[in-house]
Amino acid sequence: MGLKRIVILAVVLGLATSGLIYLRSRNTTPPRLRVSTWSNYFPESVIQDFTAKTGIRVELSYVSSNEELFAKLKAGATGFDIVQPSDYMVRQMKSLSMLSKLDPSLLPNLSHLDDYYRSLSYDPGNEVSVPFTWGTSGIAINTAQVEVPKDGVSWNMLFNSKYPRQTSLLDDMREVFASVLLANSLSPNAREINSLELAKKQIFQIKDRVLMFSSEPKPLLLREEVIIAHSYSSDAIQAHAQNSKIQFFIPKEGGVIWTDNFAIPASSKHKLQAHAFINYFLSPENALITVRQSHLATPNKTVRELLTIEEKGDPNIYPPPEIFKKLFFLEDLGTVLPTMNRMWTELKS
Amino acid sequence: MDSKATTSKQIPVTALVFIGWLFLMTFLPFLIILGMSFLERTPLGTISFHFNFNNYARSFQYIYLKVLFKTVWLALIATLSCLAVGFPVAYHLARSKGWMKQLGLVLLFIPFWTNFILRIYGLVSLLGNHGLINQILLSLGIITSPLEILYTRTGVYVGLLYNYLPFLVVPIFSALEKLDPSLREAGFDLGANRFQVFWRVVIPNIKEGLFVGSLFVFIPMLGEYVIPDLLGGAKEAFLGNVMVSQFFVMQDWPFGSAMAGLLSALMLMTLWIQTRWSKTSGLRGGSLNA
Repeated sequence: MGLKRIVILAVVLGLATSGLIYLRSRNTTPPRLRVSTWSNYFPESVIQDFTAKTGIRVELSYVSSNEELFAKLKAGATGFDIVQPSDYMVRQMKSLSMLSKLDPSLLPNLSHLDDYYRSLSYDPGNEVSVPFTWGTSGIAINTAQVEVPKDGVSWNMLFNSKYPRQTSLLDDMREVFASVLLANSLSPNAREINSLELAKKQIFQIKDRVLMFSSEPKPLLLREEVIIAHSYSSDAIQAHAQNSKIQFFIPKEGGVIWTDNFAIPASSKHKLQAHAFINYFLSPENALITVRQSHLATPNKTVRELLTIEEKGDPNIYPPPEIFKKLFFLEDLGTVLPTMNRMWTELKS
Repeated sequence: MDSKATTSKQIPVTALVFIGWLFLMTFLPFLIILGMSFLERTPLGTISFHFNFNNYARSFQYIYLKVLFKTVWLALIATLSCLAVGFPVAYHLARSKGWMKQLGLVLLFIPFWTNFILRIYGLVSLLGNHGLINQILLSLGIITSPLEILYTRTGVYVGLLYNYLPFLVVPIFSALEKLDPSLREAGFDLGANRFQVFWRVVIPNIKEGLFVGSLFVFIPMLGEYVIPDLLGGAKEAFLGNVMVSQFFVMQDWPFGSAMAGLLSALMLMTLWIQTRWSKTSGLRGGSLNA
């Protein structure tokens, strides 16, 4: 019996060590870039092209939220060379020194970026991040069933919806508060308790009338279960591609703008190759392919010139200046955030 | 073969695996949660190693207690619905013979070979306004406007009932299986009618099976968050939803952990009460202890 146990133990230990050795050898040999991204984001062809041209192999892994990415990096997940945080997450990671400073001399294609995206409030001068796509939050409307008002779409179309049982709101506390605040001509980043209480009261009045809260209204819009949806431009535009009656609007009171960015974690061991990767995706021809696949707006001014008239002329993807200046980034609310979360819980309890 | 004395001194491999598994999969995660619950979230969203009890104090604020009571209420109603449907199913299954019994059991579990999320999405497409059920009822003229089930509390109940039923049926079924048929016959011989036999002979003998089955569904329902989100339209937050949002939205792992710790305590208390109850209720052997 004793001998048998020793044999089993030896076999287990042997397997474990050889497994570890195998994993180690796999990680060290050819330099590969580990990219953490959202699903359905990069066209495979561009990545294969990148590998063919530079010899740098790319390994994609997917995250489903900024918070998940944050938790992974914070928990010490090393080995990521490129991450794709949204604007607010760049701010958070930057303030915690989780991102490495970018070297502009390695990113000559930065010159293609529109000036606006080179001096963003959360990362002025692209110190640690490079915007890759941007979009807005607004309202998606099924224009076959809902008449679009002549004087423009207002946030009140959500809150005083004529079709409450076919209306959905984003299941995102910040976005819902921002939209109600905007409807009241208040800042979407309001921190005053009175403004927040007012917003809470109004959300409470509508939350049982609307059909549901959902952060993925695309399938609901396509099934026509929902005909007015609080939506990210990305979802609405993808729905539009399948049903042209579904249109996205940035309300006249203004909306929320967001970006997705490239950044290099401080822990990356392949920073040179990571810069090459970012620079590659900034080049107009590659950025164009990506933009066409995702239907998202590009911060790349050269690419915008390359788009067809219809593509760049869509005011709901590229809003005209008078609307654009009414787009706001969601700022860090600091100590007000837990208060807002409590209100959100109260609303749903 | 060695003598028994030497083998009993050694810890068998099975025990090592057993203890190792429990340690890695139950004990260690629980310790991490417990430790985390005494820490603090910084305004930057990181975790500071500042030992404090604030998270527990926060958990007892009115709003979170309200969510807790609502969650317990929901789980209670859903458990009773499961009993109402599950008991007849188990009863009939236990009284069936031969291949019918085998087939019934297999059919009961076949849906569960499909992934949980897929089954919930299946319900979404069945229950919606444009879903199969409403479309059929509408076209048959039984209803004139679609039944609002999806994205309401009713939708949540339907999802819970559908998803947890087998876990309640099996313990009751096995308790009924072990019930000696001669007990029922004796009841009839002594002049009891069908109801009396059922109420005074069958029920007392499977009490524990009923209780265990109910707990098997009640306890996991307390932490349920996917069903309220997908079938309730995320309009109501239950305890699971509030906890999940602390981890995934608020980055407040310490507060989420404190709530998770308290919920675990509540679950253990329920189990403890059950054990105490079954000890003092004077049941012989107990069908499930056998």
